[in-house]
Amino acid sequence: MFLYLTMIIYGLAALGSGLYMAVKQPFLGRAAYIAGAAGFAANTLLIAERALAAQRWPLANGYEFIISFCWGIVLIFLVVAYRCKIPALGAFVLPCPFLLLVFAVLIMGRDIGVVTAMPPVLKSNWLTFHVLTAVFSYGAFAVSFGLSLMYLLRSGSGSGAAAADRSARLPAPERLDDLAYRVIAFGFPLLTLVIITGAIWANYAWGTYWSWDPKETWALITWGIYAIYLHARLVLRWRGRRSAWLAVLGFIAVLFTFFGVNFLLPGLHSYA
Amino acid sequence: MKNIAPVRKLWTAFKSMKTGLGLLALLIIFSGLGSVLTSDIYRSPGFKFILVLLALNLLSCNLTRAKGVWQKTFRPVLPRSAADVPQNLHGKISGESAELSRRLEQAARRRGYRVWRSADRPAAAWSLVAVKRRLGYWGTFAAHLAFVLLLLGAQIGTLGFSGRLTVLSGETRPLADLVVESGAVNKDYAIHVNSVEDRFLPGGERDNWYTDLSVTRDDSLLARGVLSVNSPFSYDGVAYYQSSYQEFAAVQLNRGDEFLLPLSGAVDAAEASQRLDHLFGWPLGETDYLVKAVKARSEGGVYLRLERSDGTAVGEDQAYLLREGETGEFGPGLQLTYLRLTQATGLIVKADPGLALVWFACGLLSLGLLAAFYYQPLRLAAIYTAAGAAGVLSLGLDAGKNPSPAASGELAALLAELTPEGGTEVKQCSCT
Repeated sequence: MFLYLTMIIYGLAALGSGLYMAVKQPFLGRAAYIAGAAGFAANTLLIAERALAAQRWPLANGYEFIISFCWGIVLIFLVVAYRCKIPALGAFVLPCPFLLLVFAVLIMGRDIGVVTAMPPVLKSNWLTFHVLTAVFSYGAFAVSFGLSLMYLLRSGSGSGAAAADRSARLPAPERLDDLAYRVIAFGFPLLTLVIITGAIWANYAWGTYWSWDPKETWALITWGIYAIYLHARLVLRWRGRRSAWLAVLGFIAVLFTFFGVNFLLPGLHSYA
Repeated sequence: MKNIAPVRKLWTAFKSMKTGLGLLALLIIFSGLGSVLTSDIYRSPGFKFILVLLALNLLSCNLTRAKGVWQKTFRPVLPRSAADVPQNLHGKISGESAELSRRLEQAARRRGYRVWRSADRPAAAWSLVAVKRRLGYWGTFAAHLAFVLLLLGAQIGTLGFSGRLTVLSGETRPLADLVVESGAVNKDYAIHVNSVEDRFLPGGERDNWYTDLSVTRDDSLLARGVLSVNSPFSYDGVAYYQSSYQEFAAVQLNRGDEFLLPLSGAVDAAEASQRLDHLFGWPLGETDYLVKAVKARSEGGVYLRLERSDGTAVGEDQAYLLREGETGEFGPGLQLTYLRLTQATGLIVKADPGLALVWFACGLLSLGLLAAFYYQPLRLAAIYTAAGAAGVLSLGLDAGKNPSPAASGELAALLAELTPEGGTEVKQCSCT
């Protein structure tokens, strides 16, 4: 029940944020934020329900990671949108958890309701650290993706009424650029911990900390993209559109690491 | 001497961060190609060459910046003029020299800064540097060094060995029997499997596979331990990992030779025939027959089926249930006796002399990045210039290349503390 409730509320929150972007009525921005918070509460209950049913942390398969991933995205969105007072952010971030849950319902289908037994290989505390750090780092990258999209839209070429309209709805580009950097700087050390805790776990489970499994490889590729983003920004003084495109590319790599690898590149992470 | 300039240029280009980023981009491209095309890319000399170049680039970057980082941490340079004060976040305040000096030092120390100041302290001009979260300067240095150590640890790891071994319960096998996947076995131990268990929780969920294992040499016990999936056992640099578990039916043909049939899962009577249809048949001794076996879930024993090479079953029943010690008559001159159930453990055996260095590097990488991004140092630099009775104190805060809003708040708070109560000093803060 909580799955559909969460999905619907996230959908409404995303819609509300989109409407705020369209008509710029402050109450719509506030309502969308409150809806996002309500969705987050429902998402928390969904995770708790699953944890109670499974009698363990619900971090053992693709569906359980999706609901945790959505939770992480929305938590970081709520913090950033509240602290930085950016009501339009929801229009760029909230469709992500909504679409992830739609994907879970439509593609994963009836199997998502079934709580399966954990195979011995997943019975490790390192799994909990590994997935929890992934939830927060991927959540941060989703929010930085939204901020970068906003930047690209805000700083897009054009003049006259359309550009003025964008300026009225979105924060200054420099602020968006800076915020995207800060969110990535928060997520990057966590992504490093994702890879390291995964390596430790792999070493306990399979006797090897690195086997160039597609999931590992794409996590490393994602790490590399964000490492380039940070170095280019801090050392080469990259700012603006180049930085924003790198952040977008980084989140595409995040999504491919999670979905693309599972569906296109078989490996040791068949359960994830 | 003319030849030195190009070499120096090449060295400067090689150790630059741009080169490092280019190498990282190449690493990403080849990693992606390897995941899609062939994993042989990761073992190719070209891929390893990129890794080596990246490691050398990071080392040279670190060597270049080590002195500066050390200086910033332990001997920060005092400003000599107002131009040396960080300009990104800066402010000015006028007042009497000794009073401002005392207040600034006290405020900085109260806020957790370590303070250095000019030794001679002439009243006319003095300067001060205060640094908070000094170790944060080492974050990037540590992260880059960790990456190099990680590669070094992985390289040292190739001096070890790894392989797989399947051992029956009660059996002793020398490590030399290992099916080696990399390296060469350099230990003369044997391993004895005391017992193997497929343990289930009260609810029916599989708990884990457990192997009670002894390491021996010349029949003397060196070590003994229990391992399971995610909980390996180590002795003398060799780690034993629980990889798989297999059950076998020990079967005897015509009261003669004993052989082992791998069992696949456990079924009830109703499912037995269907399951046997899908199983692989094993040659039955020197005969032209194949035999299939599956474990009986509730009855105890095993279901067996004998098939001719064309796949047709021998005997009337599609699945014979045999309990321990029972003999089945499958046809003229074809008697099979089920002797007992036996287990085997699948082990991965690995010696990795670089593992400790790899974990150290992982820890260093984590600490380095946490320091670089979550523990950013703040450097406050101030210089007082006398101008009559009330001189001007210029002070600035260096909070890295992307100062956070909190840093400008820190400077504003410091300036507020420096202003005497009811004072009328000029205060100016330029915060980006």
